[in-house]
Amino acid sequence: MKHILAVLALLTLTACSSGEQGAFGAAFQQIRGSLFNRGADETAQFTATRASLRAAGIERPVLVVRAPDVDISVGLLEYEQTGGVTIWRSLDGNTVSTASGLLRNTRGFGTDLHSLDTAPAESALASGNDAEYSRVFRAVDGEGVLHRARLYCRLTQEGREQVDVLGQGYDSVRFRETCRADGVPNPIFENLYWRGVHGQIWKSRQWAGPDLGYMTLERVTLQQ
Amino acid sequence: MRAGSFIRGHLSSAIAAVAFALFATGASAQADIFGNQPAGPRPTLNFYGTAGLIDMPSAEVMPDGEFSTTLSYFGGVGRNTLSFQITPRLSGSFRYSVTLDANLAGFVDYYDRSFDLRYQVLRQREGSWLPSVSIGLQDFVGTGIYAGEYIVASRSFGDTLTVTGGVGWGRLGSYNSFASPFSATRPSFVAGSTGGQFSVDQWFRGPAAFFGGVEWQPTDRLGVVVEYSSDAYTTETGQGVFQRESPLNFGVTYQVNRSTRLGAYYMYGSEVGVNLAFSFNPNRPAVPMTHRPVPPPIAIRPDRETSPDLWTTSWVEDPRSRPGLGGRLAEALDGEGLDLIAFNLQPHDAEIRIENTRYTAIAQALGRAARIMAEILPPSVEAFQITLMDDGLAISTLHVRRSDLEALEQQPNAVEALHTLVGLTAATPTREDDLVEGLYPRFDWSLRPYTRASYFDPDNPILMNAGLRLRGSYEFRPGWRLDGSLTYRLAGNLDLMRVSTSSLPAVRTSAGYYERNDGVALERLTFSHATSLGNDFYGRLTVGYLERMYGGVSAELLWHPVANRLALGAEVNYAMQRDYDMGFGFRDYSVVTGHLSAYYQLGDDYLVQVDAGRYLAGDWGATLSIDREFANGWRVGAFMTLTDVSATQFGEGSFDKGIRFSIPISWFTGQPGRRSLGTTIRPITRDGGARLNVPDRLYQRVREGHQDSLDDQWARVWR
Repeated sequence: MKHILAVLALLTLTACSSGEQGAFGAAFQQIRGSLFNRGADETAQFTATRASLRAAGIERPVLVVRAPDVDISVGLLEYEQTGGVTIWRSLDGNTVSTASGLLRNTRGFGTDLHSLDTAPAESALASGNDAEYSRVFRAVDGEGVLHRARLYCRLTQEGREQVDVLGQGYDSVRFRETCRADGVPNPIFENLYWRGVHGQIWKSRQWAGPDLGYMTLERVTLQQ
Repeated sequence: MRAGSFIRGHLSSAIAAVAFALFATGASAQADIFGNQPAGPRPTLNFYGTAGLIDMPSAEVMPDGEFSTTLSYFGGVGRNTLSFQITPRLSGSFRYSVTLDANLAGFVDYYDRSFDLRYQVLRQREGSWLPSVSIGLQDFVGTGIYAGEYIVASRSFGDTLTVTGGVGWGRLGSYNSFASPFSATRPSFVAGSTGGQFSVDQWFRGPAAFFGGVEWQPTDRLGVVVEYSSDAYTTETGQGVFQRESPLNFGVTYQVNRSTRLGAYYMYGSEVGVNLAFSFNPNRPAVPMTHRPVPPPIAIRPDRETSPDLWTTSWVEDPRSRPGLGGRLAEALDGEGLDLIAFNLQPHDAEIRIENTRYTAIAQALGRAARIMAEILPPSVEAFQITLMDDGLAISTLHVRRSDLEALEQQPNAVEALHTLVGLTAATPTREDDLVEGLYPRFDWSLRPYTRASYFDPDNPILMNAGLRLRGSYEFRPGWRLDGSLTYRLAGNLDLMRVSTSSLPAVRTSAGYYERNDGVALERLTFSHATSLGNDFYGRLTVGYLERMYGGVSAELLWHPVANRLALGAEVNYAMQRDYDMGFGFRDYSVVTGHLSAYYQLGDDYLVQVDAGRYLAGDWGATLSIDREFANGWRVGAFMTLTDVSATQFGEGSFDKGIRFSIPISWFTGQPGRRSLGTTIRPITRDGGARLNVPDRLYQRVREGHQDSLDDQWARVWR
């Protein structure tokens, strides 16, 4: 509850100071992203650095989300943790939810990812071994009706790799997850996860549905 | 000149369709939830606006729910067709056509309206050699100019090639016919006949002939078609409309965007033809719903173990609680386009009563309201009740537990799980003590542009007026209302509408007289009361100027249990015909009219309605309506009325029938909204089987908040 208030206070401060471009204002401009002005306004891309985020007094983790198919790149602030799910929220209120770093849903990104369950993949990744499991993908069609499809996935370990997240390197192991659906010849998606030594997913490339395509998610922690 | 006016009609519908099509971008048919396109060639629309080759049909079907309008022209023959894929296998079409310089039945240019139906009895499957097979009835009501029946097979090979062959009767069996397999006699086309009767006696009778062709789609956008036509165009060539030199037709088609396809053809060895098809699908919104701004995540209450003091119930005793919380609720709900009408706060449960002015989906309105309750109400409140009201009429109450909202929001199965945990009950009447202080009386008004159109007038296929409409309402108490509507015509030509003679009282054929005043017209001025009567009964009483042509008194009773597919209604009206100047006066015609109605929700997608009773001209009979209703609010339907008025007394068309459609504005804009766009099209308006247009009838208002409508769009409850 306390951290929600802190974030809300920050958001309010930005709103107040948006005209005068103070330190907060500048930093928030950099992480603002471009959900509304896709591609049209290059300054609306995510351009912040660790230093500029710290200078803005941001201490909570930031999730940098890029969806190249729809020209989105935006920094989201950790907003709330509930029942194992982290909700990341942009200044204009759009959200991405992750569980152990796996993408669950998006809200406000256009034709959103309604939901992709994460539990089987979470435990497979946690074990660190190759695994096979299924995940359920849910989507709302153009008519507004919910559809469900089961995906059959294989997780494979692809070796150690140093991964860079906003200028900071992490030792990690790369995993590739390939998911298929019955009656569809090609895989529905191939996700990549860079998992750190303590199990943290520092970086990933995850499928967010047919409209948003692949998103890269980078987790930026700012506390020393 | 008639040809000129037809072309103008063509043009204006073409302009409307082009404007419509501009919304659509990209090129895709009906992708699955993974975004994959269906296999096989894309079916294209022919000169009759149905899936086919050029002038001949094929056995293909359009994607389910596809709604298309086709404009085609060759050699003096023009056709405007509206087609709808009613079910995955059944399609229907309505056509308005002209044959220029036909000199038939006293007309230089011959106009006709026709209906088609087609059913796909067999569908090609992957791994099987069997083709798709369809049976079709063309212009099947009356001995129409296009009357013909067919059985046709089509098979596609890979993603590019489709081969079609079939047997046709009637018009489609007129060239190089081989035999009369079922019966030799078939009544011939009679120009200018009354028509309108189902011509069962002629279906599949008389000579039959083979037709066929090949369509090749080398790319996603380009198509090449060759066909052999079994239509001899006997009437047209006999009247010198065009010369038919060959049975072979050739064409090239091009998919401009996902909704527009153009075709150019060389027809019958002598003529150049063009075809322009616009296709839309409820499942393919012009702009996808974005649901922005996104609601904040459900506010989670502080933990009860660690902060027990926040869970106190003592706030209830504080006299400032009700006005304070009520004010915050009203303000937050207002931000979501929801009007707070009444509320009741108890230590552990709370009820709010709201009117939804924004959301197309009721589930979304209820979901947003629940979020606001979770945001504002003290932690001790666990049970939420949200009652949906419509213009003061309380309809239904959703019961939802706050802890379920908190626990489920981020769950992948949140939609289905919440559905099993909520309850929906009929609403109890609104208690006086719960009303928001100072809310009543409520006054509301709007000033908006309007258009009114008339179709198929023999001299002017499309007549239209445009102007301004001022609406006002004054609600004394919940459900007690005064409503008025004035129009002011700015431009238009509806005054040219023909007034035809009738052997019945001119209850609707006199509509043209009402279009001849230039100034301000009083469309409606009513005093009404609608209320829930308990035990699943609802009642309405309306007095005043009910519609453009009638005033009087109307009383209605509806029985509709909240989770029932069946509803029953009764309505009785005393209607007096209004003066043509649309002022306060009445003419010397009045009638007692009314109906018993049964409404049945068939499956998820269809609404069947039967109304039996007495109509405006004093005739007795029944109306059958069937509408396909899509979850996002699209509706496409057809209706027919048979009464004790004979076909001769009725006049052209024999009985009242028509089609109607309604498309929510939100489908075009991607933004939530309550308004929709649509029309009712009757081939001809006569006086038999005419109903009074009573405003705010109960069924549509009540069902909106009932289980079926909630279920339809339940997927939006969290959005």
